[in-house]
Amino acid sequence: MRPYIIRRVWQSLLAVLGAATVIFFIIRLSGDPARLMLPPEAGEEQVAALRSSLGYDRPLLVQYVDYLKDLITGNLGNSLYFKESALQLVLDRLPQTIGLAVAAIVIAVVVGMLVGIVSAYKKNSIVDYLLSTWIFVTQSLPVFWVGIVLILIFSVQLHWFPTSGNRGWASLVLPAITLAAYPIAPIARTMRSALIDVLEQSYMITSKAQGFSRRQMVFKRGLKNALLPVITVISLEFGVMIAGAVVTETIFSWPGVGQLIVQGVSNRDFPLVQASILVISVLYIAINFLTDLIYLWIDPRIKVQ
Amino acid sequence: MNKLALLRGNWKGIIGITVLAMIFMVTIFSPVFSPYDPYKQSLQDILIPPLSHYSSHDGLSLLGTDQLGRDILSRLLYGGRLSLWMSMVSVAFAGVCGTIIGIVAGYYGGKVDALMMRIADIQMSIPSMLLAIVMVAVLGSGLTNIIIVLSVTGWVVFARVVRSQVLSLKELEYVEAAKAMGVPSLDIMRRHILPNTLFTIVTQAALQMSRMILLAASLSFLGLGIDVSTPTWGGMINDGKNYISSAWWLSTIPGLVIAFVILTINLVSDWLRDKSEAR
Repeated sequence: MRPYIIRRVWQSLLAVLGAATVIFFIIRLSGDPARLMLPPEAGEEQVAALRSSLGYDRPLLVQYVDYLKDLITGNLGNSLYFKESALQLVLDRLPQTIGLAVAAIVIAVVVGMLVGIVSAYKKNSIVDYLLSTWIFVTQSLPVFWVGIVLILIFSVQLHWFPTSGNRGWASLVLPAITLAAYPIAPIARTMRSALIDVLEQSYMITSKAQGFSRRQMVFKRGLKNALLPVITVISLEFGVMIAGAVVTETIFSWPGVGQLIVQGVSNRDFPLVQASILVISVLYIAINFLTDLIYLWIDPRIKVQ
Repeated sequence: MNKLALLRGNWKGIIGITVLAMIFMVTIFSPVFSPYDPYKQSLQDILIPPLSHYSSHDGLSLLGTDQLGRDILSRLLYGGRLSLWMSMVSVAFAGVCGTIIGIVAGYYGGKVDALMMRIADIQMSIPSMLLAIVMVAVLGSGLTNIIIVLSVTGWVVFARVVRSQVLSLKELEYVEAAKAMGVPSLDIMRRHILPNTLFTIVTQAALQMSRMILLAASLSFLGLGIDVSTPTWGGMINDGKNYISSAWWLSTIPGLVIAFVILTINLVSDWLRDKSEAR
């Protein structure tokens, strides 16, 4: 087991390096990042000044090596707009985004698994049919639209929840539900099909012969084994949720990293955008790594490949 | 099989493709079907609700007008033409590049395969939405750039899916026989491998299509899409979010349209996936 873990750690570090490299090259894609960072009317001397102060006029390889050295020491430059350390700005906002994501995942897992379990339990009944249709429709809804409709119904009409900002628990509800709309359908679907598969296995027939009630069968034996694909899905969906967080935070003015990225882009604040994307990518890679560790714990049969 | 059984077995595909075809017809020929000029502003008719009459000229606005008096239905049709066109072109690019890479990587294996998959993994370490956002930030908005961005985020899935199929295809006996006879690799890939991957590619294309429509709409919603004056579905929702309390139809209706189109495409994808599992 140990060599597997070490290999995964090494792969994750390489992935971080890869992400950093991709970002490095994309920012320089247009050929002149300094010009991008200034408004269109900026004069040539201004652009040249910015270019040399940020070191964009040096040879590419030199820039890359310095970039990597800076990364290791945690120096991601200063935000052009806020004039503070970009990394610090991102880290200050990160808890908000993580809080939102966790709340959304909890909602999605609870509701999704419930829907999946019930529809597997009552397979091919009206309940199953209705739930499956709900899953299908939910999957097709654009998340930003869901957010707006929720605001329309629950904030504007019913005044149950605030429309934006981050004041207390009430303001978490709508954004979390909106963000949960992403992973909920895949979780429900995977839970349903995994549980159906497991219930049809031969050891289930044995349990039935031994006299366990149907409910005991589902919950004691069936569920644990069905969890594996569901965990895969949850971790896969996390990456998609990060995308969703950007949009959700924009709709609800939730002060997280997603909103920071959008602001950064509209302000042409590339150091900030770069820092935000790097941090989120590292988070994403870390979550993939953790998921692999969880697999190992749940199913020891998974060996090194 | 009798006709009824064929119909019941394939209802998803039949309904999905029919509805999709109608949507395509209506949006591609939007100048014909659109009741009014989507760019025409009318300050007397700002924010009128659906099914109300214009005051500046004779006529019914079926879906209301926006904050500049432009007819929503017309904008939806023109925006639809743009959205569908963008997604189709992007899926085509991503599909062609991804397929070529997938076939080459799967067939040759070894270092070539390792290199291609390494590049794919590196790209996958950044969530595609973030990749799209930063690319748009750097390249600028505009139709061509958005198509490039969408294609770049899409090729990896095609490559991986095609590659895994090629890995099993290349073990087939007639492929081995062809190799033994000295048939050039390019011909083998073209005549034996490629046709067998077509079904997978089409299935994947349907899935990617809805993903790209959504990604494009999200980018437009964030203000990173095409320029603001061109009607786009995501852009319309973005415009409307400031008027939620007074004019709910601005954001709600385009969203419904997007949902409906994606639902239909997903229906077709499901049908294709059912078919591929049955094989």
